[in-house]
Amino acid sequence: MSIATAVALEWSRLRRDAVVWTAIAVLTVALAYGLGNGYAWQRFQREAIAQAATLEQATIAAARSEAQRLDRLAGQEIDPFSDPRHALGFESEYLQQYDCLQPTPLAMMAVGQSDLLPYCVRVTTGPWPSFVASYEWENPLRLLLGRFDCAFVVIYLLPLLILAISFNVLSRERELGTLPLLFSYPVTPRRWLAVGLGLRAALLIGVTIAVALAGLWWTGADPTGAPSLLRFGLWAAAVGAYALFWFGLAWWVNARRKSSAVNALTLAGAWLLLVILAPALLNAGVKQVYPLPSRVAFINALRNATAESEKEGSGLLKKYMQDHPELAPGDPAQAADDYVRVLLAVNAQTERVLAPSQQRFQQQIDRQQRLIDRLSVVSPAILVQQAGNAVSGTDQRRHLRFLESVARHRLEVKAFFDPKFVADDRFDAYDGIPKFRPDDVPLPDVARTVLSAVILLCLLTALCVVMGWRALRRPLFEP
Amino acid sequence: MIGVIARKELLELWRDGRFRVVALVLLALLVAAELLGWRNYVDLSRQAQQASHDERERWLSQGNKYPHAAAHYGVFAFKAPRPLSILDSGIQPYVGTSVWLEAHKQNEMLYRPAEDATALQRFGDLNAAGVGQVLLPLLIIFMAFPAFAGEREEGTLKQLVLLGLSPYQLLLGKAAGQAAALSIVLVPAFLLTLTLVGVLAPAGTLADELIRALGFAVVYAVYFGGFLFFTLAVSARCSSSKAALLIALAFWALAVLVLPRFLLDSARMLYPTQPALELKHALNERLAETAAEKLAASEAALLKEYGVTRKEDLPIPFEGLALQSDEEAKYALFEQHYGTFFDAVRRQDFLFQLGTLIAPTTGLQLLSMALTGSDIEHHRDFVLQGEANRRVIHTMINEFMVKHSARNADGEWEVEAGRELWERIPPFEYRPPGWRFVLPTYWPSLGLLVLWAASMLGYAVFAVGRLWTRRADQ
Repeated sequence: MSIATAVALEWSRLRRDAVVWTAIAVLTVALAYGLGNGYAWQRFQREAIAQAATLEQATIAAARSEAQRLDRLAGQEIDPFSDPRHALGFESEYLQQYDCLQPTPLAMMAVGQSDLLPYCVRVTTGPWPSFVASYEWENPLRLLLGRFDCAFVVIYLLPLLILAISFNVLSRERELGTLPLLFSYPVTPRRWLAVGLGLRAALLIGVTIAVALAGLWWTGADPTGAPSLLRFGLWAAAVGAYALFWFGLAWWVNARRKSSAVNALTLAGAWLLLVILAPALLNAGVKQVYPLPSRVAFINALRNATAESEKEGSGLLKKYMQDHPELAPGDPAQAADDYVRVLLAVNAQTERVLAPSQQRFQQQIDRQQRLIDRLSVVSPAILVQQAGNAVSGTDQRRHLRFLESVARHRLEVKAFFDPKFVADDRFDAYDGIPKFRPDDVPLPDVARTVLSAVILLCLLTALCVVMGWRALRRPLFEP
Repeated sequence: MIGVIARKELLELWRDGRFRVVALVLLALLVAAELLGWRNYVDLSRQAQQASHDERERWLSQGNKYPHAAAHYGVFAFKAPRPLSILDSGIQPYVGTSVWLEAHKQNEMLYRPAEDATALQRFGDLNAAGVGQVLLPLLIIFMAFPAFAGEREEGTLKQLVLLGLSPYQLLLGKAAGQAAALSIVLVPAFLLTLTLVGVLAPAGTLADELIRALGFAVVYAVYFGGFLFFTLAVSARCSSSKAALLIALAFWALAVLVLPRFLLDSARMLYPTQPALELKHALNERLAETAAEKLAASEAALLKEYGVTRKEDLPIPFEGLALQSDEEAKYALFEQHYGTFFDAVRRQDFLFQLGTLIAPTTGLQLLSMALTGSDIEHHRDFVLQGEANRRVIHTMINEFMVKHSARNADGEWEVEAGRELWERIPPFEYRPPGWRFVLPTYWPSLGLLVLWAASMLGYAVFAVGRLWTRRADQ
């Protein structure tokens, strides 16, 4: 029997298989809901980022207008901490600059770490780390459970649907008593099983890619633009490889000629092990091997460092002065200059003391990530999660890189303002404040991450196929 | 007879090597999860205790200074875990661990542990609650799916009917046997929990923690019972054990995986929250307006009361009064600002609770977190107690300023505070609420979980009864 005949025969059976069409319907609805959810989050972020930009422009406009008004009040004593013509006043009242991480065109495919890590950080020139939280306000239970996004459907539900339609391709024939009849045709069990699973794979992978593509078009993200097309191609490759792994596993389990119930139990057990248990155990293991320093201990150290530095300086009068300049004795401008000098010294000292602690956090996070990269092969779910997040630009690597750019930008802004704080020159360089230049992960790096995941998934699939191939050497039934 | 059937079920399961392996693996997972939870609890408690102690020392030894400078220095409050968090860390990784109680502002909680974790965190933590919510129902399904369908396939069901056995005896016997098998995993894990809680809980809250642990065991028992009767019912209704297994697995996937996320995401659509950036900007604008209005109003009232035209001429220190008035004016704004968010979350969670009837895992997750003190309501209680402490600190400081300020030689008001004031200001000591705190918020979850389990029992009775009627007809 030729492959074409086998395909035609299997297709005529699949067309009437309610389980397969139910699985396709469930997959379509779940993907559509997941994409809609991802799009809603992407839109929410875009709106927040647009608001941040508007706010920045509005405060600069307000500073210009206030400067003009104050110019008209020549001769009056003006508080330097609220005077936009003074760098101190501008920084404390009008500097509303936000460094934001723009969602990528494919951000709707995976929410990833983007709902947990900050995507808009306000620039401050004060002590670092700042005590101003930058994260989005979200129901913590939602963060705990994760979102019903496209990535969830792919990682968790797609394998279950694959298993539901492929666990009994051969065992069903045996249980119905049609196996001898089937193999009275000139077709080998390998070819028959390959055709059966191949058709199912084509259907499910095809539907997944088609729904994702339709979702992108429907939401206005043009996936045909060069970078988007490459990202989408990478996403499709990762999802396709992940689905093929599960079909490969089904091939192996089918080839072991057990009953349908045993096949279902085996595949469900494998899903549980690879999708639920292995990532959770690896997560627990990584935390034990490379534990992060305690944030509570970090705050404690920070408070100690601040207290010590301030004892060396002139106390906490800066905060007092900023909030209540009218209560400061003597000439406010001179007093402000003095306090700012002390404050800059205190902040610099605090940062110096804390630098090793900050470095330890970074080192441990890097070590954890390297260990995960090495061990991710234990779970295809981890591989596809990492690939999906990288393609969508919602991975930890991109966020950490963003936070590093934020830190660099802060230093640039600080270097811009620090000399001006203690100078008595008029400040009007509102347009000269250093702009944020986000340092994004280059597309070739994203491609490398995804392709290495795809290669590993293909190797795992090949392993399953070989094991199944060997198991099929024995006859399926005694004639 | 029920006892005989139960013993037979238990023996059959025990003879099945696969059951022994799976049960052993799950027990090992539960024990490992509890020990990890215990280690985590000890670390976090020690860190919070140390930091609180150091913070108090820093506060006391800050020396003599202008009181309002101390108010800006403020105090950090650190959140310590509760002993039962060894079972369920709940939302703790996703909310901050400390808060800065400073003048003028009710700050947000800082440093959410999950922010420092890798993306693997999104697959979930290994904790006993997760094992109970996700894996143990699967064990129940794997144990119970052939209970009736298997008897039918092997042709032994007819013999049981002909023996004159009542369907309910068979159902209860099988359920008791399966429950006994499950207890091989659960009882040692629960005894370990009681031991750890007994060791970890402070004497003052030991009774409360034990009541919570008991409540925890009861709600999980109801959940497992519901799953057991559901699987037995499906087994009785299905013509083959394969079909029973597939239906039970499909329900598990829906109840445990799909519906909780779907319900919460849908709740977010119904009760949305605004971007934090927008909320904070709006708050800052209102704070500035309110503070300016209040300052002007206080000044005008005092000038009028004392019949002077300049605040410098007032016979009382204006600053302390103005600062206190500023604080009080902002209380309502902060309550509204944070209250709006927490109320939206509460509404989202309420909708999530209603899902318990179709997806029992939702209600169980909330009850589990609430009983272990790791839910949003306990977090909110910490935030409120922290804010109450902040208000006490700043009221005392401002009152001190009013009472002790004196004019210097230049006629300016001056005041300095020292250790005597710092010691009088009470340290932040979180008082955890008792177990009754859980009920007002989570009664729908509790009621619906019990109702769901009762429905599953009813379904099982109906399904097994039908089995007999069908057999009798034949």
